[in-house]
Amino acid sequence: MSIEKTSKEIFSDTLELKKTERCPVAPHWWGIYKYEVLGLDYKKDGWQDGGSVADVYIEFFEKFKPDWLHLHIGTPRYFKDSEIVAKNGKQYIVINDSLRQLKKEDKYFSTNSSSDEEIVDFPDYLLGSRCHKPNVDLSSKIKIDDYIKKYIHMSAEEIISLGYTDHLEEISKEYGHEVFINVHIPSAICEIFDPLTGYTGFEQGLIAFYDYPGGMRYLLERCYQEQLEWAKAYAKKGAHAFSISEAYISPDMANPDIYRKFVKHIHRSFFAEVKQMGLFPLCYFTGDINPLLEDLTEINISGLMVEESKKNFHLDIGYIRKKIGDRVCVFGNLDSIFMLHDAEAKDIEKEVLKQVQGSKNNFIICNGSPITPGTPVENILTFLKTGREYS
Amino acid sequence: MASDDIYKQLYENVLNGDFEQTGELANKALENNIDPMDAINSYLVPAIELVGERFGKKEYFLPDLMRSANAMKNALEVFEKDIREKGVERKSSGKVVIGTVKGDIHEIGKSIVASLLTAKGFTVTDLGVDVESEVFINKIVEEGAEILAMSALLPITMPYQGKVIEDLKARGLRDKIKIMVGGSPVTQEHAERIGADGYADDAVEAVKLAERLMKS
Repeated sequence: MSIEKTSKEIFSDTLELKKTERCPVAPHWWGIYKYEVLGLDYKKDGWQDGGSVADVYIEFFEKFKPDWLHLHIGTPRYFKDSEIVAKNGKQYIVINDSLRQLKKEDKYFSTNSSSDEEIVDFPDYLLGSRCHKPNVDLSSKIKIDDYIKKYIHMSAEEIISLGYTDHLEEISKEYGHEVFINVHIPSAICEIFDPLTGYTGFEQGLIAFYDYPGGMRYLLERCYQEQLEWAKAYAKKGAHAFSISEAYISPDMANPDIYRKFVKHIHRSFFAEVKQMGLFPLCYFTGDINPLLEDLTEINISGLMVEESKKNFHLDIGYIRKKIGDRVCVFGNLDSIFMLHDAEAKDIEKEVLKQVQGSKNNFIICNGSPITPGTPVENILTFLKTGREYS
Repeated sequence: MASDDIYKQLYENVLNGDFEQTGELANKALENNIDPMDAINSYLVPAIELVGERFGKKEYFLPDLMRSANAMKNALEVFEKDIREKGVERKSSGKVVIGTVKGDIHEIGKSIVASLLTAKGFTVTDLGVDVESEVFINKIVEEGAEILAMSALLPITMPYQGKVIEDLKARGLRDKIKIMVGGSPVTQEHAERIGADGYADDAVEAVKLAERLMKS
């Protein structure tokens, strides 16, 4: 008598391109939607520390029972018991004396190590953006190294001691043996190019590929290296996979050769190291990836997540699977707006089945971009049910 | 450097996105008594139009577009200052107020449109991101703007474009301004639904749309 495999096993087998009894169903980017569905106010509940974040994830998971837990970067411990005040129509977290010392050590969220700010813009924190860092000077390796040391570097131990892995630790204890757990962070390029908080900003970042190619290449190498500390921390606390979202570098924005010249070799070694830590390396590559499909089979990822088609490019998941599915496990790209949010159950069923294409192997049923607030719960349930029953 | 060479170099700089030298080159043009209006209309504008065409054909990408727009802006700053000092007014292609709507902090698309509009001779007031309806409306009145351009990258912030239009109607200002909308999830249908005057797929199309709206 065969024993039914856990979703963790099915997920792992799929990523290893083994034959499976069904496709994992893995809605991703639960974001603000998970708060909405649970009737929580994301401005008040479930963010103060890893424990409260874990509670929200667990409740959401129990409601839908997907095949994975898709976690965000986590939250630092120093916000626990902090006071929230309203000022000029916005909410702020008050950083008191005891919190300030802890916050100083946090280079992910903090501006710098000598910050004397007493309040932090609360919604900005929740949206994932942080305080501004000064622009990096790309003219020399020494300056880039200094910048990284001052504003970016945190060891895996520091990341853990600040509390960024607390949510994972709690979830892993309860679910790690049977549910697949992934932790997702923005890629180094996202951190560098973010228009509001990036180290160069978007425009200067893209232009730097032309004007400071050596500096940009070195900055990228160093920043991806730094991100390995985050992977190490999550690996220690029970994650099964580590994913990054790769935006700003897709061929609908930049010439594909920029990716090949500046990023591909870094990706290759970065994901290889993630794999060595015992994690499945996943990449959520947004934008038009068609011109890069072959390249993406050579960067040591186990799974490729893609967006849904947009008005200026078309991403046919059948074509992508046919082209690279024998080498990299492909995630689906069910449209989060026109399908999950807007469509009727029968259309969602039809689209899920179309994406599965009768083949259970090497494919993970997934949405293309964040689940939008206002998405009917029934639509998510239809998506999950169809995926489980018919794949 | 002969005048012909300067003209040619200005054209090439915009086309190739060599923005760092372009301001200096524009100053050199003025030293050589080159007519700034002629330089703008006969060399800078055709160059940026060709950049737009190449972007449309996917021969150029965003970094190329931005570098060319920067080159154009650097030259325009020098030429327009000279034109103003001589008491001549360069005719603006139109006054535009632009911003990403409230609740949305995405600025890339909006900023590219603003850069290209400036490069094509529009007078642009960029209000940035997370802009409230009231702020849009006050700035429109203050600047005497002819076009309002609103961006939204999130499906949840798209309806706010409609709210701004409704607020303009309530203030009796709707008929005095042309409204264009854009952003990744925005479509022609959405533009029609909320009562905007136009929608563009990308930044290059947005400039063409703004030019059409000014003529309509």
